[in-house]
Amino acid sequence: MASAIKTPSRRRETVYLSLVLLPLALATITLLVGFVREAIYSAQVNQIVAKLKIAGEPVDSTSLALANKLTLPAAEVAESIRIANAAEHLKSRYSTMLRKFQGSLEVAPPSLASDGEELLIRYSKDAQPMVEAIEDKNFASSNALYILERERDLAYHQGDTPRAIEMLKKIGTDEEFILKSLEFDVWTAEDLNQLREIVGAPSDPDTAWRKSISKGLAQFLEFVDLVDANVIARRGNELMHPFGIAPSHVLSQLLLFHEAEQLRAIGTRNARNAAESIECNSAAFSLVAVPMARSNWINGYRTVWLANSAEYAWKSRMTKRRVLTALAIKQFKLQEGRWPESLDKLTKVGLTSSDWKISGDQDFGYRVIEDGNAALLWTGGTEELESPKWFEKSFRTPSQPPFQWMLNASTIAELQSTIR
Amino acid sequence: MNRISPPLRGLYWKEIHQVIPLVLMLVSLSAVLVLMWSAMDVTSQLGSIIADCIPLTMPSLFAAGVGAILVGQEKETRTMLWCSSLPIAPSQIIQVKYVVAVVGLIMMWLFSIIFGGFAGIIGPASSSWVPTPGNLGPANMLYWFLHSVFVLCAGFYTTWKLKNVFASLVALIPIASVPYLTTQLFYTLTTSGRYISLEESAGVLSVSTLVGIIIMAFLGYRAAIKALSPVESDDDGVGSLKWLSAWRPVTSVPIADSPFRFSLSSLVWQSIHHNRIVLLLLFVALIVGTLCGVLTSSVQIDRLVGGVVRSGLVAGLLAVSWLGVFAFNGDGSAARMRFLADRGVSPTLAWLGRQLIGLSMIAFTTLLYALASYWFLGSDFVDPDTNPNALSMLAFGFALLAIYSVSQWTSQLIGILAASAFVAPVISFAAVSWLLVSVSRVDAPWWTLVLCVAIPLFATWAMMRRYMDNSANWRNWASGLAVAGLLFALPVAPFTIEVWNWPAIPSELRAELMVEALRIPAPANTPQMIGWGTNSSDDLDNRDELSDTEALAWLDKQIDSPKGILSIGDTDIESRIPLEFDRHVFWMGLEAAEYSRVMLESNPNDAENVERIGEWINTYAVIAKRLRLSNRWFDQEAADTAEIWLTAMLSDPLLKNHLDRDFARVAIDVISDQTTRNESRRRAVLATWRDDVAARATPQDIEGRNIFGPFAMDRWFEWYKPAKRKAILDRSIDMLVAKTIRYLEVGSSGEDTEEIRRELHSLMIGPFEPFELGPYADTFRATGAANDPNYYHQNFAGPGTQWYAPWEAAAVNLKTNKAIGE
Repeated sequence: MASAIKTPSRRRETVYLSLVLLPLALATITLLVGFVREAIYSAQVNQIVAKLKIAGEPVDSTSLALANKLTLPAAEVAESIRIANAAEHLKSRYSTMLRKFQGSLEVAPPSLASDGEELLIRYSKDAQPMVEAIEDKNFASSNALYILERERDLAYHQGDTPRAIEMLKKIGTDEEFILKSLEFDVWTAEDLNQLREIVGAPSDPDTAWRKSISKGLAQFLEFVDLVDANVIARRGNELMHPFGIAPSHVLSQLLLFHEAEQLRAIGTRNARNAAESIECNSAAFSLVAVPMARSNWINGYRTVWLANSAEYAWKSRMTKRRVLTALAIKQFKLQEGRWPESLDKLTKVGLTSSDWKISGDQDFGYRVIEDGNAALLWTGGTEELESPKWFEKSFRTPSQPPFQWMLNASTIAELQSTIR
Repeated sequence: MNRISPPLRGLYWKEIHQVIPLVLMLVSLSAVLVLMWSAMDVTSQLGSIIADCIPLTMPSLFAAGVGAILVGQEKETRTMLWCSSLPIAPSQIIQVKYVVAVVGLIMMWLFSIIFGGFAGIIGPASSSWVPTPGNLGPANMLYWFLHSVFVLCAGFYTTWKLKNVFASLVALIPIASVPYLTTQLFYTLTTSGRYISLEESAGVLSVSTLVGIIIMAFLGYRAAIKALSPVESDDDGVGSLKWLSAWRPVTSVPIADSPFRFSLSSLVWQSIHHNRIVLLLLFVALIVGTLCGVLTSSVQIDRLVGGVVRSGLVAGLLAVSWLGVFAFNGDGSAARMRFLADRGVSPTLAWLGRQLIGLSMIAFTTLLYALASYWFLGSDFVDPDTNPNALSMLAFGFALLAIYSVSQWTSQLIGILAASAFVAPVISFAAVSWLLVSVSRVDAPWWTLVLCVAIPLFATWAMMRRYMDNSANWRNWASGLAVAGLLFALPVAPFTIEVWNWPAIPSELRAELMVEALRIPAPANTPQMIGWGTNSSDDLDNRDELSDTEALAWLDKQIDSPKGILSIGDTDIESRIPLEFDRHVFWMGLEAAEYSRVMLESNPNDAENVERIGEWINTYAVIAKRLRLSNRWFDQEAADTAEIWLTAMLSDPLLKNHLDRDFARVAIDVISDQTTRNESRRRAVLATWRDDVAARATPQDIEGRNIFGPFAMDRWFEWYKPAKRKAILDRSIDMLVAKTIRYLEVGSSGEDTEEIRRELHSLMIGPFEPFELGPYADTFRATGAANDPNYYHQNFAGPGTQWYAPWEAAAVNLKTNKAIGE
């Protein structure tokens, strides 16, 4: 029996055709939406860059370099470099040996006999012409600082505290040196007062921070320009972004720069992690960016930089507070002949309650131990986390603020909402 | 001796003639791949992957396709019925097909080895993919050979067994992986936690493949006998009245509104229904591949089930290519298109009807991908630390479209399903790789990529009428060649044109300079390198414990004078032995000299301080004079630095009262000699260029070109991508030489050099830094008083930055003023 030949109805055919055409139409529309979205973002980016230009902000490394161009007279610059070169000679001559005595020369009080003392004295003698030149002209190269630091070490070791303080003033605040020096009874009450003045001297971290953010922004915008001009080879990663960076990715970064202030205000490791988490979860998703829908490479790079800067700024503030609190505790001890029972007592030596706060409402940790013979100051978390074993003297301060606080989902969510 | 019977001889002849097109096609394909590979950077990852694949291309594709050609095609054209009607036993027919296939396979292996050897000759010296036991390993070679035999047997089995050729080819893929999966299962059951290399597992793989060959040969033979046996007539269940069936009226009559309508909707309907199972399989593979593509964006997931995900991705990509093949060979025979041609269907309509299915499925997949990746990248499912990322919808869709476009063109060009099913994926993946390489290496503009995807689609549309008429002739192949040529040439054309037109110095000028360069004699004395002085800290570095006394004793042995820091051999100012620069020692000396100056500043009346600075001035005067004797360009830059330091020192008021001393007199004579300075620079520039041109005969990367010595040559022209930089390097260096020679001529005649310095800035510093901030600007050129050697040291990337700067006039004036004073 011959089987029936089945032919489709015209209606059925039309349904088939519609089903075939539907994905084509939808894909085309979606891509068009992607392009329009990028065009809108592009206009927004241009607007932001135009505003930055009007505000006189550098938007590439050239304008940045021109803005920061040295205004010192050429002869002065040349002189500072010549001093730095001479200092380099002295450093390379002594560095091998000084390194070998580093342990015994570091913050050694007069009471401790120190290996390498004679060497340090010889170094100081050879460096005297340099010290004079540096002091006269106030040069601040790393080599010059090296010379002044050794001068300070020697003065402290010889009990010449006015000279040590004089060097500290030129070097700038060296928190680690000051903290470690407080373990010994070298500083007089007057010295401690001066040290508090040095540490508490109003610095201008806001300007430094803004400068840093401005530099980061200028470098980022220049990078975008280079990629768009397809001359990325100079900056590496040539396989990425052959057709430029999508405006959506650029805009997402610009917004992050915009929020840098909030990030800095919070600053802790938690905030930093939260910022990275925000970046990963809500970075612009582009339909038409080539090749990647999200630009983790560039976004991630900038996010980490911003978060690091914010964390660094926060750490600096905390370190300064910690040194001031430690100095005040030591002053209290000299004044009252005993350790303060709690940080509240430090009001007697001129501190206010905001001076011993980490961030928010949390105070530094403080406890008198060993039957009143020693005191311990730490910066947060728990005492155990700080491993203060290496402090064998009567006053203990951990070297770095702890950042081991664990993140949990609610902390992240809370910080995300604060930052945004 | 048994003679082959005439019918059997005829059968052999037929089978061989059926296989020849496949052989020719695979040989051509390998040639294209070798050509492409030769044009690529063989050290890149992609280059090495292609290198690994090329030797296996011909035998593996032949093994996979020969069954479909010798059996499947005969089924489609119904010549199998003719074969079974010959006075030859079915077993002999099967035997003939197997013999032809195996001999063909062996020939393919031989071709592969010959091609490998040929590519090794024409390709770069580092080519190592020639399939020798040395690189693949003897065990691996045996495995790959056995596996190709296994695939051949499996191909015969699936084509004998299944009615539809496309389905048989699809079924071949999972069967081909059985030996590999069996071996993996074996190792999973017998070993744990240990990495097993392919080399190590090759033995087990070979055994399992051998067993597989026996099984497949047996199954294939059984299926073949069944296929070649007389076909039983349809039994409609009416028993003894079966003979009446042919005379019965049909139970239903086809009722169609318009039986010969050929609207687009009818053609689309037909395209879907002529091979629904295969289309469904391809669709499923596409979806799986898409989801796997999204999953590969997460390192975390990739680590967990990486193998499965990657296999899914490959299956998806294969499905895209086969969608292209499906467009023209989905119904198994090009002859069916003729039905449409005979009824006057427009080629454009027929083309659209064939393409819409594939394009629609790609659009669907792209949408699915966009949705899945958006959800996936934003979900908590993925750890943000793994930096999940994914291609955008546009990039993903474009990649699929590129594979599809090339595949559909291949399938129309080849016309034989069995061949195009395997050739199309290779060609399309090769084409996409080529586009990727073009983008990353030579900045192929986006419009060339769009054209490369559009051209194959346009070609199949243009050739549709011929294809429908089934009139294959030289025009088809000529158009194929044209398309292939365009795909190959278009992406690199803008780069080639740009590099071709890159500015070069006029040939007359080049010849003139080269004549002068060739006349420069080698130095009369062998040059000497600046070396370390007598001071050394080696004995201290190895000591853990050191007492104060020992440290001070060591210090007492150190000398701050030139002798302790550096050695230059002959210290006579009249020495004619050229000196060569050593960056580290040279600068150590300058730093020690600066320290002596600071000592003098602290106590200007100390005779010992004056003597020490005098020693340094004398030493650097000798160094500067002997560096000028060198034919190396860079030594002239170092001589400039030494002279800049000397000028600054001798201009210092500290030494005002000591300018009549010998050390000052000698040094002033050296630094005020502008004629020697000009001549030495010109000689060194040309001699260095001459040596560089000679070194170009041995091709090497910029890093290997050390003719320019300690110049930071790796930073020269680094703003161009490597391929472009390599292509323009020689011409740019020629340009640098021509410009510096002009610079010397302009400078020595006392004219303003700003214009030429601007040109040098643009050539050597690149487009990113404005001239005012660059090393050729006045701001950074040394004056007699402002010495900043450290800065110049860092900016040696720009040659001649300090030529004819104010320090030269200051140096000459020292001599003039001294003469006036006397």
